[in-house]
Amino acid sequence: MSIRTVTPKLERSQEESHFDRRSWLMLGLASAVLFYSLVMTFYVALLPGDGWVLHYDLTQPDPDIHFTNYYGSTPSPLQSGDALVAVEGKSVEQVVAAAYALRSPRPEQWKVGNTVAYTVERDGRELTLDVPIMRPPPQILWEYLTRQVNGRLILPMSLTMIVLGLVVFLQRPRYLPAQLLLLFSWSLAGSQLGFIPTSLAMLLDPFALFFIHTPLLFSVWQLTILPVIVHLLLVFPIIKLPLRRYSRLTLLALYLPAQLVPWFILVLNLGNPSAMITARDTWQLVQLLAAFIVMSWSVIHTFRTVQDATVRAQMRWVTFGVLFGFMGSVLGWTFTTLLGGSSILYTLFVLPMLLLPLSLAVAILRYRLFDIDFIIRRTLIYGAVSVLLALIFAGSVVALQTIFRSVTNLSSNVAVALSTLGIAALALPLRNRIQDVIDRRFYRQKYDAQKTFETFVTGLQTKTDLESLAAETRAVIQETLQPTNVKVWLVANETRALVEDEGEVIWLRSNDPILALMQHTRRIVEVNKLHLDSPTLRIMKIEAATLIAPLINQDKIIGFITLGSRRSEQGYSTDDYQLLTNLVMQAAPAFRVAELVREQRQEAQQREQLEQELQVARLVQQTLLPKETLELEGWTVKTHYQPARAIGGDFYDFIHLPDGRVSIIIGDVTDKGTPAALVMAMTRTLLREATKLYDRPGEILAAVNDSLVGDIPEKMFVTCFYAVLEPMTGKLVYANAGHNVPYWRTGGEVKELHARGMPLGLMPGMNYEEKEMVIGEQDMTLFYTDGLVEAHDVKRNMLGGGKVKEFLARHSPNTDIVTQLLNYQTDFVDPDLEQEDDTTLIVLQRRNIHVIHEDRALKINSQNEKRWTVVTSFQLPTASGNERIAMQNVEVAVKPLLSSSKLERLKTAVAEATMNALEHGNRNDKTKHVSVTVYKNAKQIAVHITDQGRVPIPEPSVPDLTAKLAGLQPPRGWGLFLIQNMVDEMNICSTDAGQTVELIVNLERNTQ
Amino acid sequence: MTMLTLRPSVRKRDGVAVIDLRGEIDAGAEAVLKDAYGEALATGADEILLNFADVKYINSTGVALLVGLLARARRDKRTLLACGLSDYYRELFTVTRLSDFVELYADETAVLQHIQQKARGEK
Repeated sequence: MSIRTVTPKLERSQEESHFDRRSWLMLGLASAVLFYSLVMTFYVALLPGDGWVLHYDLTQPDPDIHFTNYYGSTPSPLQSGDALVAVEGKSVEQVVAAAYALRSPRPEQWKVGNTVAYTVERDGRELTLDVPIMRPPPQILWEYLTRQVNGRLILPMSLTMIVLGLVVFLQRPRYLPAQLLLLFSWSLAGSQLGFIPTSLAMLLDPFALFFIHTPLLFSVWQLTILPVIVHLLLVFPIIKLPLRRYSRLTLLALYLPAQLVPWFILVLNLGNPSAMITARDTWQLVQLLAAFIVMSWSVIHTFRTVQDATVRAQMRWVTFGVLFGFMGSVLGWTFTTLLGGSSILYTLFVLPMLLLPLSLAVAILRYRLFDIDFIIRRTLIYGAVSVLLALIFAGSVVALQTIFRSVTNLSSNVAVALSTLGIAALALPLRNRIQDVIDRRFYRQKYDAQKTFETFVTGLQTKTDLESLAAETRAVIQETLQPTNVKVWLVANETRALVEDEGEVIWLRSNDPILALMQHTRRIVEVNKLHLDSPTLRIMKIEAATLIAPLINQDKIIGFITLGSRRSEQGYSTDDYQLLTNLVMQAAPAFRVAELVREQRQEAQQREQLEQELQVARLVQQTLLPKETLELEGWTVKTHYQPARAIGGDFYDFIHLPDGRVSIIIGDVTDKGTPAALVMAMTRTLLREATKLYDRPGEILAAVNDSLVGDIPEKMFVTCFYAVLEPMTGKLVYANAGHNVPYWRTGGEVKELHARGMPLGLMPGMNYEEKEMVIGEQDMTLFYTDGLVEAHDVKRNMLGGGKVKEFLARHSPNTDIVTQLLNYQTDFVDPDLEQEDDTTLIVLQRRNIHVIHEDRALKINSQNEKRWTVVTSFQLPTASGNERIAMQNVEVAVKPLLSSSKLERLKTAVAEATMNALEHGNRNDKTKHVSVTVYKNAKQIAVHITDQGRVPIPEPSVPDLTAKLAGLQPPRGWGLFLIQNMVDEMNICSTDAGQTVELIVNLERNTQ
Repeated sequence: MTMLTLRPSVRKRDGVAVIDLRGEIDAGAEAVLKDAYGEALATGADEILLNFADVKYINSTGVALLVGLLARARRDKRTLLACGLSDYYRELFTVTRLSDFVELYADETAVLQHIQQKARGEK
């Protein structure tokens, strides 16, 4: 079925393919006109006569009639060019006058088989010839229609018009313009078919003369053609004002003069051919002029007043038809009249005659076949170029032929063939070249559109930013199709308001019914054709969208692009549809990709924002945690803090009390993240304040609990273990507010530090049990939070306190328990799991090695030095390998006092200590030296090794051989450990002047 | 700066790569020890025996070198054995827990006997 561009203003008939009374009437009328034309044509063509076709001019006082072509089958005495002077003695003037007075001038002898005496003038002499009268065979009609130059096109053209008019009429039989077009095209076809060459027989037959004969004065079609076409233009594409308001009057003005005037002309000029012909021509001119004025006014008026794109597009076709068809036909008539019936020029103007009904047919049925502007311009320019090229071609062929002939002796045929081939070879690329240039020059817009489109499509893969992709798509559509507006509508993946306009993109809800419709349709649709109760569609209509092109990716609709009407108010052509279809097809995947990228980017942005917030919170929080670990003489305190998310609810604190005691606090706020951190900060402050006011851990926790109860959010609470340590004695007083029970390893046993108490912030007025214990030398206490014990392995087993306890029991006091514990935890947990909870550890170890920054840390110090005997004392310069000298010197000095094994051990200790002093203490600085003094008393031997460095000797720790073997730690770091293990006691004294290591070996009694 | 204090040599005996260590194991021994190990590895033997019979001195750096050697042997799936350690160095191995990872034998013969026994046992 064809697309019908029915504008509702024109006709609202639902059954436009059904005939009504007027349809039948119009069809009858048109058929009558056509039938009449055919009958008359046959009648005229088959009149008995001499078989000659005439050229004549009756407007002169002395009529000029001469014979031009002979169609007879038997030889005729007449010759082409013979001028008629008289028939059977009657002069031409008399004959013509009689004919134009409606009296038959036909002589009696004019019968088939007789001869009639013609007096003709040939080469200046008058001859009288007996011309036989014959009945032409029916095929003469065919000959007339085909052999004449102007006749060749008549038959196909007339048939085309008949078919065209009928097709349009059958498509829309109730539509007045279609009916008028039928009448017009059939009248025109009939008039063309009747346009057969004039013979003397016709001039002598009044019936033929007045109704069919070429002056066409009173022919029926003459009465219909012009009024009908004007009528048509007054009702199409829209009914013009005169017909709307004064329809009867206008119709009368249209048809009446055309019917009446010719009768007046006939009656008033009877018997006077010259006057009659002049009057006829004048009337014809007046009619044409009037028709032209009305038609032009109609076209211009429509263009100026109607904005409807469809109507305007239809008007373009009408204009095209009127301009080329009507004007061409008029020019054709004029030229024919001026230059004679068989002029070749007439042929050039016969063709345009077809254009008028053709373009009108297109306009009525469908206006979107071609881009009419394009065709008009192309026709004009290519026509000119083709003619020019043809001339150049012909000229070149002739020139080449001449050259060939003069240069060679080739026969002219060969020369023609060669030169034609040569020029053809040159002409084809030339033509293509010229066409290309013209395309670029004159159709720049189209050409550029194609280029723009291609560039856009090529670059699509690289466009991943949704906004810029949408912007570019819109720009490309703007540039190529020139709509008043372009919108990109995309399906939003998240729930949104009905329709959300974000500038470049309008977001739709995925359940919008229009999406289902477009998914089903899958092609470009006119918005007006959509019948759907959709708010989106209403918005589209408000936005003046006329076309909607679905974006379909992998069979799924992801949105669409809407276009407003064309800026030029011309409808979109099939080319435009094709371009748009290609564009959305190519752009859809790009839009999908861009959407995904956008989603990812948004997610990343959100994540980043959250991350940043947490980062800030973490920074704030970390400033609340102790910046340094607790430094206590005789104690090793290690902490570990690892929040699960950027900020956790864990906290710990060390508060130095004025009397030298230290508060050690560890706690955990339920929940994680920012709220937990805020509560944690508050709790920490409250604890610090309470510590100033109260002395005992139980009192402090009770006070903090009471403060927190009113202030923290419901369902949130804080567990807290509060201990006060007396570093000198190792006494620990503690209370627990529902926190994980710390472990205390003493000897080989691991105990738990229990104390009753509810978490902080749950209920007011709570009491907290207080307990007391003493941490002995080499004892270790572990405070921790949930994160440690609630870690899960692959099978979702919890690490649990029991395992931690076992782990603590297994490990020697001198090891780095924090690292090992964390390694143990890491080995346990499922590596795929995110750290579940914050982990905070505080390990409190009481050392047996006293590193004191005064020489009282040493057994032999400034106070008791006199009780010791110096065995030997020496200084060594700083040089690599000098530890050997120290070792040898000491060996010599103490050999008699020690067993070989003890000596070996002491030697190692001395060597290591000296090496440390040289390398780490003096840092290989050759200006410094190392002093070694060996003391003894009754029970012990002591060696002091003193450097001049300022680097404090670190605490010895047990190297983790497993970690070293696994490559987790460097293999080095054995020195201090060896020293510590080789002697009975090791003391370290760090002062500003230097570091002293004191090595003490007990003497064995039997050697004493 | 450091003198070449260790002169190891490598040989293969009954399927065991033996590194005879002569001299002192301290900072100066690093390169030669590494080379010797590489040589032992090249013999293709699964077991590498360190013969400490002629070692006069091992300091903490030496211990670190031995730890590094042991770590490498474990990565290369080789068993490291030791023999000829004096009582004192045996103690050093115990203190440093190196003895937990390296089987200690009195001398080369003891090592080979043990390996033969093990081989018989496997049969």
